Amino acid sequence: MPLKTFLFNRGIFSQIVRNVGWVALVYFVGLLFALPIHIFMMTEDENWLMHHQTGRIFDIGSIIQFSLMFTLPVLLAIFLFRYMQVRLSADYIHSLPVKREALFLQHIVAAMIILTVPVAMTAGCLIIMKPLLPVSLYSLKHIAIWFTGTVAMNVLLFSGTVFVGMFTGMSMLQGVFAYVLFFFPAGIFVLLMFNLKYFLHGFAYEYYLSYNIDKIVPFIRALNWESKPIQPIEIYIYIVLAFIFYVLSVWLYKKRHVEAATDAIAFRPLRPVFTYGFTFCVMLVGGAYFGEMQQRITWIIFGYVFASLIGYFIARIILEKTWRVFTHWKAYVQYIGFIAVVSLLFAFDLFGFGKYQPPLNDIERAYFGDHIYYFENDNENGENAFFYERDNVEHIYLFHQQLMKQQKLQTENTKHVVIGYDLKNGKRIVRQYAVPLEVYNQFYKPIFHSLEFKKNHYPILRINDFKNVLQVRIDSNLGGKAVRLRDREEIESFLHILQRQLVDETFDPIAWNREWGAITVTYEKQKGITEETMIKWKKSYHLVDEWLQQRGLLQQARATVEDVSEVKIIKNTKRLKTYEWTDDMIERAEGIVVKDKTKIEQCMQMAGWDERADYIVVTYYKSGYADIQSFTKHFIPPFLN
Amino acid sequence: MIQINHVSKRFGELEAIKDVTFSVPKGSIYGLLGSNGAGKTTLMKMIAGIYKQDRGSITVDGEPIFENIKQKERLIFLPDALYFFPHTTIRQMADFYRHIYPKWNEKRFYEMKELFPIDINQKIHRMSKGMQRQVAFWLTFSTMPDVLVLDEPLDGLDAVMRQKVKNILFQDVADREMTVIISSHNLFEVEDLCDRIGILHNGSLIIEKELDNLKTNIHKVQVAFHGQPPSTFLQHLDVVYQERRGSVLLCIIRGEEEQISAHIHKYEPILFDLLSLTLEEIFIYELGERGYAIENILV
Repeated sequence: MPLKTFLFNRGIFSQIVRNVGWVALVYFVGLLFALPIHIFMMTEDENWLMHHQTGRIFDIGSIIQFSLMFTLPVLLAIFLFRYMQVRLSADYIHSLPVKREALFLQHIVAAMIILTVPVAMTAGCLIIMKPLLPVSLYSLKHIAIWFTGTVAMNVLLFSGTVFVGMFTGMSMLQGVFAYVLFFFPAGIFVLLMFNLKYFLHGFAYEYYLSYNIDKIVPFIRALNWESKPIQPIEIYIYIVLAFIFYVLSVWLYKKRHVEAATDAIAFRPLRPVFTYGFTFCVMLVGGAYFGEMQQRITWIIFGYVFASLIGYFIARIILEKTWRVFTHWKAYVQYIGFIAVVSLLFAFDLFGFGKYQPPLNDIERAYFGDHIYYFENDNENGENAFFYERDNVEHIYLFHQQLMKQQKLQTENTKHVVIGYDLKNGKRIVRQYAVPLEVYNQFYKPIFHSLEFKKNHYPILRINDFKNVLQVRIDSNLGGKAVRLRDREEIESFLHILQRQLVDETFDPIAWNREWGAITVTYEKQKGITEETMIKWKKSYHLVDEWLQQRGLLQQARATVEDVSEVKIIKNTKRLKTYEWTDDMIERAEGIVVKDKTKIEQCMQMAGWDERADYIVVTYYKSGYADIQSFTKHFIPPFLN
Repeated sequence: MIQINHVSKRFGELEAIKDVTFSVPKGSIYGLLGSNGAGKTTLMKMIAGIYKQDRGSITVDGEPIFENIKQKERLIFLPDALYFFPHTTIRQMADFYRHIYPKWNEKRFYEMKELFPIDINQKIHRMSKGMQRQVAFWLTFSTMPDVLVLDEPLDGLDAVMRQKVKNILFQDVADREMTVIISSHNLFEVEDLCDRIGILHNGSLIIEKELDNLKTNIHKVQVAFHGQPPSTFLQHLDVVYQERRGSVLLCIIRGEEEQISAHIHKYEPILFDLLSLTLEEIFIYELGERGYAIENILV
């Protein structure tokens, strides 16, 4: 028998067209509204038209376009293969002398026509309209990209829906599975990462989440096509995927029993896969939800048990198509038993994840920071958060060793720490912990004191040649005072002082909270390219104060004792936040009024922004302005003791 | 020739067909009897190549039927619940069949208009159940099938239409040696139609009979003697059933009429009566012999 007659049958094909041909019409009308008609509507309003960037066809009538793109292929697949899911029609069609391959192929061919012809016709309309438009909205190339992208997405979604349709005998589940198929890979990855962090001490879930896994969800990708245009490689991937879906679908179709119509899962051996897969996913959602909300292990376990129970019975209800499934609890007990064993493997860390540290000698460089970002984006903005010096690597290594021993879930007063290693063999290892502040500071101190850290931390320390510096600006937080240094001698002298100050800076987190303002250095990085780097002007930078004093610039750079009339110090017995103190309250409150210049100077040096501090410090300026700051008991002027 | 060989089929936990074997010779009509849920429909769907058997083989003219286009073109399955494409007319369905079945006979289709007085441009879905069944027969006969598998085909047809359909069936079997398998839960419905009957119960074929020699081969005998019947009297007879009603002995005996009469006459009974059985009676006794009660098996 010739292949043509073997695979094509006019009767079947015209039946398909009669059955779903209207979808093509609906699609075409929808696209007409989304694009040509929409564009003509836009031409009525010049502002509207002008605001549109050239070539962004996906942005025009985007709601209609994407609604059609995301639903129509799925619906079409459901309609086309509905004959398999209804018992009567399934029996009837499969009693006909037509091979399954032939049935399948003809349905696919019909679908390809329905999914491409309306798009092609719309593209044709756009080409014809082009000369009629007052502005150039798009080029032929843009139309080609729009056409290819739309068709590729249509075909991918359609083929995926056909594929999942082979696994189920219910059209509704086919629709659900279709969206699950495309969201699942990203979704399960995110869920697993979220859940693993409860079990694996130091698991750097943020590192894995930053892979931008959502790219692989076609819907999310399509919505970003205008900002990140679709690449040829993506189109190839979509087409190859569609092809794989088709091949697998035919294969499954031939294996599938006709009597699977109306069954939730068409292949019996897959029923437990569905039950436990569904239960597992719902369980992960429950664990992640309660984990993020409550951050306590008891709540997380509750989340697992509760959600898996719900998931299990929903899966059974779908499979058995009855509510009376609550007697089948034995399989659930087996499941939760299995999960408990696996959880214990993780909890007792039998895989050694939480205890693993590479040999110190294998480490090429170590990362230490409060965020994963610079571990992955090394050297961006000249930041370099890696340590090469053996002393520092060793410090980090030892700290890591200590962190591995601490309790897993720490929530109160902690600091986020990311530790990573690049090994000499090219491998990367990364861990992330929540560390109590005291432990953190204790460890942070020696690292902070190293020159390597300071060079990493302060770009100013990496400026070797002061000749490239164009300007230094010293700005005050208060009263708009500022000093600009442009004189070469002044700049060089200041930067010498500043660098010395930074190298000598000691670890003192409380003092760091007090600052006068900011110092900004503008320098020429390369010929014609200038860059700015800014650091805090901490009150502890006495060398800077001295320098400004010598040059007679201090008064100009910030408020000094000379500007202040008096300071009022109020005991903050109720531990209110600084901003909660109103003028009225300050006036009525009892406190010490300081007028002595030395004491005022002490007050100015020590006042900071700590919230709920021990004292409220109100500085009254001669200009009439009043500034509210605070003291903590660890850091107060001597006269208050 | 349809050959069903040790066929089994399971739907999950349910064993719908258990090791069924029988054959239907070319040009004969086979009646498949059984109550609801006996497995008739499942078996017929396998014969039609819709379901695939788990074990055993089903062949039509020596070729397995499943996914066999060549054989399926010659075979039509008419299910108990009919299916037509939504919103189609008889004409459209006829066009569809013309493209699907190579032996479609347009002339016969028009000739049969006489037998089925329905407007061919009417939408099938708007018709009554009985009319839909007529349309199904009309289309089926027009495809000139060599094998016809009919699941409860006469339900919903009035007496006149039943007769018409039966006549066409007989005619096609006689003229073209069409092979027919017909299922029913009602013995009387197919009694006059079939050459052979098989009874399906809980998925097993519990009895299979040639109807022609069935009736000539089994007899109801009533005898009475002076005093007790002689002890050796029933020894050489194939007795299916016996019962005493006072002095009268009632037996169901298998065998040739002359042989039975000759044997009994030797004992000089005072009463001797030999009757033939109705088909229903035959099945009652045959099934009784195998330990079944007919009420559980046929309606």
